[in-house]
Amino acid sequence: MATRLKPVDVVTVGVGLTGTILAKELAESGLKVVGLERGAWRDTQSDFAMPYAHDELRYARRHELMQDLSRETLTFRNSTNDLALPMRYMGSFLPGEGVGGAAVHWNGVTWRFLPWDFETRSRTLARYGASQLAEDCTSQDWGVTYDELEPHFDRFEYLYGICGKAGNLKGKVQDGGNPFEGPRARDYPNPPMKTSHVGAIYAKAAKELGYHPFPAPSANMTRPYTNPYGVTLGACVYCGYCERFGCEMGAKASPQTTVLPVLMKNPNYELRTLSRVIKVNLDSDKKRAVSVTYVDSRGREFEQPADLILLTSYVFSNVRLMLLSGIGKAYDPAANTGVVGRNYAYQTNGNVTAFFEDKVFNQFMGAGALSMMIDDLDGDNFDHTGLGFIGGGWIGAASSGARPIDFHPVPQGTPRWGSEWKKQVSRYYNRAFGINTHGACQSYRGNYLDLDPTYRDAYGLPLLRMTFDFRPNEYKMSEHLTKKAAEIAKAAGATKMSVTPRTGKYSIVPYQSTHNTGGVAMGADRATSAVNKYLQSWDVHNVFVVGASAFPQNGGYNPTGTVGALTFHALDAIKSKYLKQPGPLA
Amino acid sequence: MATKLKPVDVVTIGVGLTGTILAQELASTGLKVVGIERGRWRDTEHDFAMPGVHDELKYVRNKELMQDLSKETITFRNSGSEAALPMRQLGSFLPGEGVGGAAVHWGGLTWRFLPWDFETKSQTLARYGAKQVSDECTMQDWGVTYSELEPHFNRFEHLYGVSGKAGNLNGKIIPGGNPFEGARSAEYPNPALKEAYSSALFRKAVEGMGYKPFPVPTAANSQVYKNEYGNTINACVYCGYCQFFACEMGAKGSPQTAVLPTLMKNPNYELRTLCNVVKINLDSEKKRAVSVTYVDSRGREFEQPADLILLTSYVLNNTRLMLLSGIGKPYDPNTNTGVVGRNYAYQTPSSVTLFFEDKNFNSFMGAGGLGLAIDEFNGDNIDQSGMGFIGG
Amino acid sequence: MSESKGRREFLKSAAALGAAVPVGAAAQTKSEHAQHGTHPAPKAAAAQSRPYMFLSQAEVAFLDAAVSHLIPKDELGPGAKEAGVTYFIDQQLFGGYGSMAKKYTQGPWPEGTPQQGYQSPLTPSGVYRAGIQDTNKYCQKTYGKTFDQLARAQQDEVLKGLDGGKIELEQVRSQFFFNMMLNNTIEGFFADPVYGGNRDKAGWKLVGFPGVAAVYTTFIEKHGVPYKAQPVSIADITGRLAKVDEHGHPIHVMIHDDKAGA
Repeated sequence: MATRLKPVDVVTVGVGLTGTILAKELAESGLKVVGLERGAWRDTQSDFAMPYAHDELRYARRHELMQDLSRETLTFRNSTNDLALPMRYMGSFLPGEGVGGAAVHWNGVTWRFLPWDFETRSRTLARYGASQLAEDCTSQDWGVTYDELEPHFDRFEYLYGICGKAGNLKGKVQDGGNPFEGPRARDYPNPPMKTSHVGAIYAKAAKELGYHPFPAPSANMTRPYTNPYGVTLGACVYCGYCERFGCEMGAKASPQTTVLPVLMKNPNYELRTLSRVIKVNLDSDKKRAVSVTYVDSRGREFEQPADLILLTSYVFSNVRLMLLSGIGKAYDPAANTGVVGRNYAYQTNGNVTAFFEDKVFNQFMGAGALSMMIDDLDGDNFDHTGLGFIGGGWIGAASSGARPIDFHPVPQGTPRWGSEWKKQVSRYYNRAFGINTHGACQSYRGNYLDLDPTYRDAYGLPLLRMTFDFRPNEYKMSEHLTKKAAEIAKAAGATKMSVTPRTGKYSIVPYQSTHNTGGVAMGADRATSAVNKYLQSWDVHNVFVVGASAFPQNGGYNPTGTVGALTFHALDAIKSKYLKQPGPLA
Repeated sequence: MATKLKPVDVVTIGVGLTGTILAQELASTGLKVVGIERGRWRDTEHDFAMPGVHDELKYVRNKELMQDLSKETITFRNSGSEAALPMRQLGSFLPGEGVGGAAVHWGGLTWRFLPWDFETKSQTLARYGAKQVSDECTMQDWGVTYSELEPHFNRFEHLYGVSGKAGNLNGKIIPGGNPFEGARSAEYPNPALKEAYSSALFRKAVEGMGYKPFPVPTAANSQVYKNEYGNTINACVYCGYCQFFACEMGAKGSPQTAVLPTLMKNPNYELRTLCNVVKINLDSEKKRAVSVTYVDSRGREFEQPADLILLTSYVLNNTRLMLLSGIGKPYDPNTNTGVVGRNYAYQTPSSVTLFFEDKNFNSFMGAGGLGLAIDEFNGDNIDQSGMGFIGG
Repeated sequence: MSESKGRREFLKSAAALGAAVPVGAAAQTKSEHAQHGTHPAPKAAAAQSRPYMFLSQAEVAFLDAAVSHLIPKDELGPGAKEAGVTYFIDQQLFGGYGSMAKKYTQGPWPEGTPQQGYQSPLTPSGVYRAGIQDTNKYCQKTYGKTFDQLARAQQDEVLKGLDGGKIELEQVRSQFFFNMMLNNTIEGFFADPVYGGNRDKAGWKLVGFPGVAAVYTTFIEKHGVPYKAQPVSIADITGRLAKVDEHGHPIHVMIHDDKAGA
């Protein structure tokens, strides 16, 4: 039986990217805020120190910074024809755990979704007509526009010190930046990253083919930077141990390097780690949340009452908690009713590996977001007439560090092991690089999240069940993008290449991306969304669900920048409207 | 859904001490026997080799030879007024796992229960009356007597090469043995183990007090020994790594040393390891078992039909399987009905540790069961009138 | 459902277990130990500087042979066996990786589709035990010897049979076992030597990987200039064998040779 605690003003469920920003701002405005985090405290000096931080086996293969699946995982199946089975090992995606969440181990690529992304459905219908959309496609407009979010993108970029070159300043296209981006009020807070050898080769070839290459906007600092909260980040040293690792230099923007130093000093804030929230409790009308129940490190149950409850965990945890707590109607794909669990999407990645005989790349040098990009084939940046798909993605060549357990490319046809394999590995380790096509993923009626009927977590609660597969739209898009990437590789002088667009059933085994989106979709219409444009639950007005769980479908970009903007947008509404007059904001 | 296999004559659930003996005997009569073991194959040459086998941290602390609690454990409480909680780590007792079961890691002490033990209730009532025991006590006679079991004790001791000194041969008390033991028809198959210094001191002390010490009978074979199946058990080297460990010498009586070499050669026998029996299936009238269901190492379910099903696992597993399969009525302590689960008991050990200033014991030498015992205070060997308890 | 073709035949004879128990004069000294009789003397193993905590000697022999094919020794340098990959695997299986720490192990375990990944009641330590046992049984049946005793060409044949599923094992799916072995071999060859493999940094030297990362802020813009440094491991830093900067990054000692590229 849970011990009831003294009420506080705000609880954040999860202390990661979104939870720390919201906590900092709300605690500063005088509210008592409690952050509940299922994992442990982690910090740069105590946990990401050299030399142990640079251990590929430990962090990239054994996933030390990531979710403890023995406590909780999810089950997966491609379609309702299959039996969902537990994801027993990390694979396709890598949810985080512990203070800072996945923003500790991310690579730092930070975009603003395109204006088109926010109005995918209406713009597609307007430009191409209904026939361009698959019949079962549930992609929809977000209920908020790029322009509404612009000042919040700006705020997030300055908080996280994003390094880049503006491509569109107040409507004027700038050289060296992304000409396709939505207009921004001002440039990035920090200059873009250096160009690696691979980046230079890629840029040259892309330009020759008429594309517009630019450096990826990066959360790996190009110089020491003090952000608006007064927290200072170090400069990146291009060590090549970024994604999946903590940064020993404090140069990767994360809650640790941007927010926590000030948040932890605020007496209005209390952090409780090793505390797992198992339920949000509602009043008898089910219109207001009264408290959360959590289990602490000693197995004791507590009930923490609060006026405002912010679900600021990873996508899966947000969705699951909504389902376990009965907030909003659970999605039923057969009846096509309900909203929680609906519009789950992912990322559609393809790849070209380019091999060279006469060049050496030193790809063990790099940074998580060190990448040369083109955006010409993203969103609706090109005419899709007659192509049979919508959406697109960036195509880029990254130098994010070539660690040998995971990176040892060999030309197609090389045996998987043995003498010949060894020869090719030795020859091409430093003579190959990948060009990635990072494609969008629309939402479909049959792709969704719900609760598993069989498998449970360590606390006895049902696991989240994922039903997902790509659709013809995604395969066609990936084929198109990957073909274009192969052309760039050829123009760059690759002597051999492996071209692998996304094909076949979606598998949870090989790593692809930790860009899981949706499940608590935002929108203007209650019938097809679980939260409004401020990420406030339509059903329970004092619950906000903050994260990529709000995306109605996924675009071609990495999601974090947009998650940051949505967070500030929601924060604004909470501070200026909700706190003054608690109730539905839309 | 379970895949149904071709029927066999006999299934043993668990391939340990009891399961291997029964399988050996029944397979030898021509029956097709399948042994289903949840753990893995283990044998002396490959799995109990020096030096790795003498690792106190691995085997004593980290219980390498014992049950994987992440797959199955028990919950425990002292009384019905508490919530039972899982035993998350091994502590009070150490169930085994794998071929040979706990008889791989046991200490080897091999006694015959006293004649009194088999008739505890009737003999207690006769000698002391009902007031000698509490109301709640559910002690009872076994339904079999020591004399009925004597030839079978003898056979088991000779199978496992037990080392000891008879104290009562056909009614004649033999000095040096246990004068209280039930009469035996033959001497032990192997002489008793040697006497350690600490034992010698113990002997001197207890003999001075009028007690009759004798060497503890143990399955650590004191000499090379060939048993009735033709399997050879080697001689103990007093290495001091016995209980919790497997014997690298093959000198400890166990399924590996006493039975498996011949059993595994019998074409009528089939061993299936990494297979966990989850249920015994009964016919519609629930008067006959028709098959067992088990999950193999690949997670697949199989149904193995058999005419005779022998539950030869550890105490806890045997009981649990009966309950899960609905064989017999489960015990309800409130209504005092039912039988399965009833009469669970344990052991009540205690100890005295002796410290000396002037003596050196080399205690790191030893063997499981190496030592002397006195039996004066066992069973009903002395008059316990007025003591307020039975047993010893 | 009818009885599966794969109804398994398990260990039917002691011969399937590997080397036969030597009969006769095992203890050869004329000491009092001679009375101990035929105790099973393990095959004389070569002196091992690092004791194996999980793998039995027979399993060590199996893996040494297998990994020597997966990444062979050749003119480019040491292979997986020389790099200590068997020992790496031993240590992994003895630890959390072997017992699937922090992974979801609850049953039931229906086999599932290839898209659903690892579904097995066996943890990796169990997979190796069962896989080696079953493969040896297959070799005994087919060639009359255990895997490690086979000729190189036969071992190659067996490995190719496991990889691709032509040889089907009983207690564990052959492809499953093979993939785990291959993945762990690559890990053991390239991981930091602190884990027991990648001896003398053989894996890192093969590809020109500098190990624990350094500061490359300046070098990253030196396009086309091969960066060849003596690789530095975690132990080099903790043991103060490598110089480090104020953040603990190694200060590389460069390798000067005239070989182009890696």
